[in-house]
Amino acid sequence: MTTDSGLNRRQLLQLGGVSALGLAAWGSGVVASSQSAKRVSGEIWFSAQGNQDATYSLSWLTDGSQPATALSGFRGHGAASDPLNPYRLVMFARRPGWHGVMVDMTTPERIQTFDAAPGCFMHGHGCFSNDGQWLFSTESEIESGIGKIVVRNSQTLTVEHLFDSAGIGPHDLALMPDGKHLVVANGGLLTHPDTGRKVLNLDSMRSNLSYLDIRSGQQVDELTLPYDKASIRHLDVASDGTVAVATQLQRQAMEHDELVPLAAVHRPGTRQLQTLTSPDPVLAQFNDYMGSVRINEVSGLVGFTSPRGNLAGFWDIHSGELAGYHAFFDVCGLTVSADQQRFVLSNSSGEIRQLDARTLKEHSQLRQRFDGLHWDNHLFTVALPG
Amino acid sequence: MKENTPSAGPWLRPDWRQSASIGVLALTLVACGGTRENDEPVLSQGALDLAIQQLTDASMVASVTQMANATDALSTQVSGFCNAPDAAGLTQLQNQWQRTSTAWQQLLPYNFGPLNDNLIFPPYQFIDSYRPRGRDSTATVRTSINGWLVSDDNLTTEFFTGQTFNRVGLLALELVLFETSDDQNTTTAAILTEYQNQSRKCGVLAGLTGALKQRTDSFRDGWTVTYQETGQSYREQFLSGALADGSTPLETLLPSIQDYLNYLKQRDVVNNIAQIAASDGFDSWTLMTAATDSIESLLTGVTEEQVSLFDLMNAGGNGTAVATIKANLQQARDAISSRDSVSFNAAMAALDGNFKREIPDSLDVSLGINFSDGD
Repeated sequence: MTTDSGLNRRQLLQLGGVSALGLAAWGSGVVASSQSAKRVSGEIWFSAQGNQDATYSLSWLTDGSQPATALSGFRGHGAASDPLNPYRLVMFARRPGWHGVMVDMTTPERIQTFDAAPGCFMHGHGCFSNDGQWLFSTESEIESGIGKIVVRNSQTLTVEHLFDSAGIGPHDLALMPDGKHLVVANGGLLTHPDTGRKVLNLDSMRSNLSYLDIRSGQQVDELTLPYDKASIRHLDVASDGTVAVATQLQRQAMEHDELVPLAAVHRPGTRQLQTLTSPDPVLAQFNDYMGSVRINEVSGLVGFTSPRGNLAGFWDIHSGELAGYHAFFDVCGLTVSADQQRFVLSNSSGEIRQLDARTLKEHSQLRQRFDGLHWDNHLFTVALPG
Repeated sequence: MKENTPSAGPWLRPDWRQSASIGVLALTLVACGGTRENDEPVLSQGALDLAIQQLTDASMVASVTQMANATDALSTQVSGFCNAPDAAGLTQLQNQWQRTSTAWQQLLPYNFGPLNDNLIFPPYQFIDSYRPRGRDSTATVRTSINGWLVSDDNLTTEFFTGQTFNRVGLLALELVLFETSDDQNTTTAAILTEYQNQSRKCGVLAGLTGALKQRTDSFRDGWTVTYQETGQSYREQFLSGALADGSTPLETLLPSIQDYLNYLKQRDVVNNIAQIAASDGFDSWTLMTAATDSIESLLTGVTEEQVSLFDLMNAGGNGTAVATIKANLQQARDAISSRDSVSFNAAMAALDGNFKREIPDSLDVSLGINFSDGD
């Protein structure tokens, strides 16, 4: 068994740190919705969903309109689809998280759960290797606080390996286009499950964007922002390797109230993150917080959302100039349609809005509202056969 | 808007949370077979809708109308004064500026809709340059006024509506009404002499007032007549849940008040605004009183007939929260009485917390899981 990146199971085992834990549990007592064993095709948008224990789930819109859901029992955060079997979706618990779920959209009543790596808790994001064999997730050692990338066998969901994330508080991550490296947003925020989400190192926090070799786990590059209280939390990668990052400012640890750019881009071959600037009122409206980022390669625009500002903003990824914005209550979910013609936004009121990827004008006739649904922070797209 | 109704799933059960059209606990005060003033509160959805409608009219629409009316009066008085500048006219204008500033502070908690509908150039900042970032523009305004007095510019309303926000608004009017431009003399005699000797100073006064009036007229028309050429007032859109960003009335209102309370504390507003205009009968504490009045009346209602948010919170069994908020309002009143800005700012911070937690929790309003608890 060899991956696209040349990484096989034996090599992974040889890297050490193999755990026999991370037990998978098929249908482990959590009942899915009635949308079971259905033919699923076309474009799917999926997201963590729900606002209370009884409704927390991984939910998806089939053909962009019909919702289905698999109850998780915990509040989810990031999610991903298996590149080899795109019907398989995985969702990770929000930090400090202890579980993940794997769902086959054709049989959503059967979910596979897995736990954080032993001695670790989850930060809420993960991704697959190009060949779908491995599942990477951001976690931290509970006692040391050291950031970890946990590698699981994507079929059994057993932990096969861990390596350092090269920072504290790894949050989002993505596979680079070469399939051999991960890019990781180390937010720099030290937390401990005993104190929940409280940040324990505001004075000394140090965020970075790290590139890691998935074979060796070695850090091959690291970039930082000139603002030491800007926590790099989310990212997206274009096919040419350009990485866009969204930050969340730890204002309470700052000694001034000047506005600080929240978005940046790292272009392949360069040695610095280029911040994306905007007029002060626009930047102020983001309220020191960007929650999601997504690149649209057709239009060359990169979008960022801020639920604290009820705003989505879009920049030209090449020029770095602000291209437009869209006001939307409690917006955070952001993805691009499978044909890249639209940005798709979601909010906690169960609403979906679609913007033309070039003009940023809303297709208001495509607005959807699902009363009783609450889309959480992130929205993803997968295109299924048929 | 296309409405989609999912066909099944446990998250779709039409319980009270989901049926509430504005996402809040169904609460109402309804008459129980008699006149309502003697009735005990009973909870239902209709009363919350009624309460929101009543507070919209009694607080928001009333405040925007009061601000526009105050500016109208200022504009009228400017015309009279500039025809024949005298001490009585100047004093009248100074008093009217104080009334206008007071009206503004009562309106500012409701900084949404027509006041704040342009992300790049939010209209409110052209009235209050301190509000956006807490930056004191006094020096910039003074320099600008001195420049206008000696320039060849045609000092029309249009000229002033084209100025940047930190050169116009209430601060600029404060400076032209309460001090001389050449040496910041604040005596009535000196200010009057400057008006009598410098005809362009009245041009500046009239132009600044005209620009202010244009803004406040726009706010009033937007709230009560038609908003953004839709043929429907902002009030109607607000109450019907038809706002462009998809928010419900309380989802718009409560964060706006949070922002305002946070602004008062974070920017130490009481020590930074209306400094030139301060006199025996008026100072920044007068404005803080107006702000506190505005917040309190929103919660208690303006008339006996009004169904207030406090009524609904009490009816929902949240009397403790009401008591907590009342105590914080009293702390603000006490701080105003003793001119204690530290205590006042602390009271504003406590009230900010009340608008973030006690009030939405008591009304069972979710301000958004992403907004309040993102990652």
